[in-house]
Amino acid sequence: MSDFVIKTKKLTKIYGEQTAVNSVDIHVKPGRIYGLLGRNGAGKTTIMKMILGLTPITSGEVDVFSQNIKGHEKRIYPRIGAIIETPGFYPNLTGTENLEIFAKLRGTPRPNAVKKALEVVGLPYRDKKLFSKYSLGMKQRLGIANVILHDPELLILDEPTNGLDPIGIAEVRNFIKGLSAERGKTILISSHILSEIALLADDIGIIDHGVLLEENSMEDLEKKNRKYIQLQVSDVHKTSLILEQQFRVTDYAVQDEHNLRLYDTALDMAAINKALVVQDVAVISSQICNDTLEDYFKQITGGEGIA
Amino acid sequence: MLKLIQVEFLKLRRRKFIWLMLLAALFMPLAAVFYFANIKGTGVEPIEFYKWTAFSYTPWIILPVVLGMLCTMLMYNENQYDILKQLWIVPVNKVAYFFSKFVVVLTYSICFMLIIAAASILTGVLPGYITFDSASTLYLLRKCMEISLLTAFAVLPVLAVAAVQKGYILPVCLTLVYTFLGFILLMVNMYLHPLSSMTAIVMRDIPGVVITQPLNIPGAFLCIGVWSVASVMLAGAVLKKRK
Repeated sequence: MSDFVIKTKKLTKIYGEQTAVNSVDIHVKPGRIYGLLGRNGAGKTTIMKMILGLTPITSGEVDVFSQNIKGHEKRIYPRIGAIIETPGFYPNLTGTENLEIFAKLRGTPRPNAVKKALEVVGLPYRDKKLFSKYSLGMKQRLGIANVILHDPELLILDEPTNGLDPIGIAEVRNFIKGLSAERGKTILISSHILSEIALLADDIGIIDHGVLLEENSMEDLEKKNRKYIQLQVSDVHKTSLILEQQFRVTDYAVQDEHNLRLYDTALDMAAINKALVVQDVAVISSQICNDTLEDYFKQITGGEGIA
Repeated sequence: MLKLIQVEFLKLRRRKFIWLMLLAALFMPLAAVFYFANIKGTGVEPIEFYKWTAFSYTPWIILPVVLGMLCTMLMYNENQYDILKQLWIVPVNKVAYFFSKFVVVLTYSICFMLIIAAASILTGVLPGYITFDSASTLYLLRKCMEISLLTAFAVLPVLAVAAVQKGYILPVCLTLVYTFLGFILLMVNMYLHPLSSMTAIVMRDIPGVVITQPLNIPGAFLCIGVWSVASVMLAGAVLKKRK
């Protein structure tokens, strides 16, 4: 068995002369939440559509559960629950009636599957309100209920918190986390909201203009963005010598001729400053900094479009 | 397949316009009441009366237009509200999906013609224009079933266009053009257009109807069959491609 539930290899989608997705390799591990982060129009939905076989692939490969989805739809689709873009339902039917249609089509064996799914997302069962009268938040919740209706192993959720109020967002977040942590579901989720992905994902893929800029675990990314002391001095070489010889500091990085970062924030900065001044090194500034994920994403994507 | 058909009927809940369109079935029987009251009077042959109420403009124009509108509505909703993606990942077989829509059209067509049959008997017998007899009633029912089945097949091209189009304007326009073209071609060549071929089959044994062209029933069935197969193939191919 493959180590990945979803694995893409040089996945590419070209519309006319525009490359929407360019040679993307993503790897979604079993039981983990993979967050696909990118600004609007970055190619997140197109990737998800290609994974689901909803749009033809220009080139590259997609394996879901170690199989190419094309030709194996009957076997693979029942193991997947997905929301792509806005969840579409019949406006003349109630939420319950809509879910009953999908339950019937899927042949959902569990009794009360519709009722349970609605309970999970906090929508009333057998309510008379038609889908056409639902708010955007209720529509999203119904979409999520439809996704979990048949208890799939893999969930593909394209911006599932769109249109939800802050409380709704938190509820959906906790619910998604619970699905992964308690029930071992594998989840691929996309968003342009950094904080959402940061709070949810175990692994993250950053996509920009159709290119996957980085794929890493959240743990590793957080390591990259730890606290540090930013030191601006007149002579970085002399400062390095003083730090190493006098203070036994090795965990630091020289950035340019005047800047360096000390990653041990517990250092006695007063003593260091004093030592530098004594040895004729001018200290221009010294401050504790904390690069957030946001700073990191801005740095690698150019900084716009991620909320 | 059965599940898909059941689901198709569930989707029709609260779609008032679809049910209101059934009222069009009363148009010709009511028109016949006024016509016979003012021109023909009472004591006419039942078949003569039914020709007016059920065998003339109903199969030529009213039923095809109503079924064309129904085809458009059945397909448009799922396109407009982005439901197809959800269906494809269930997964739902695209040809089976198209076929289930056809079953709805066929059932609707049968209901429509049964309403016409009932309305024809009531509007003929109650005012006394005709006397009720079982032979003419059975004949009426048989012809109504023929019309309903054949017209449902004859509108398959409209259903196919509605399936491959995302909007509703083209299918609605096509319904009107298709219906009137079928009516016009009745007088030119009955075996080119499914609706005129359907008329040829239906009119073959209606007393008093003069068909100006040589009657070719296999040719009429062939015409309907070829158009039906082509429609299914078109819908299947485009739906499979479109995703």
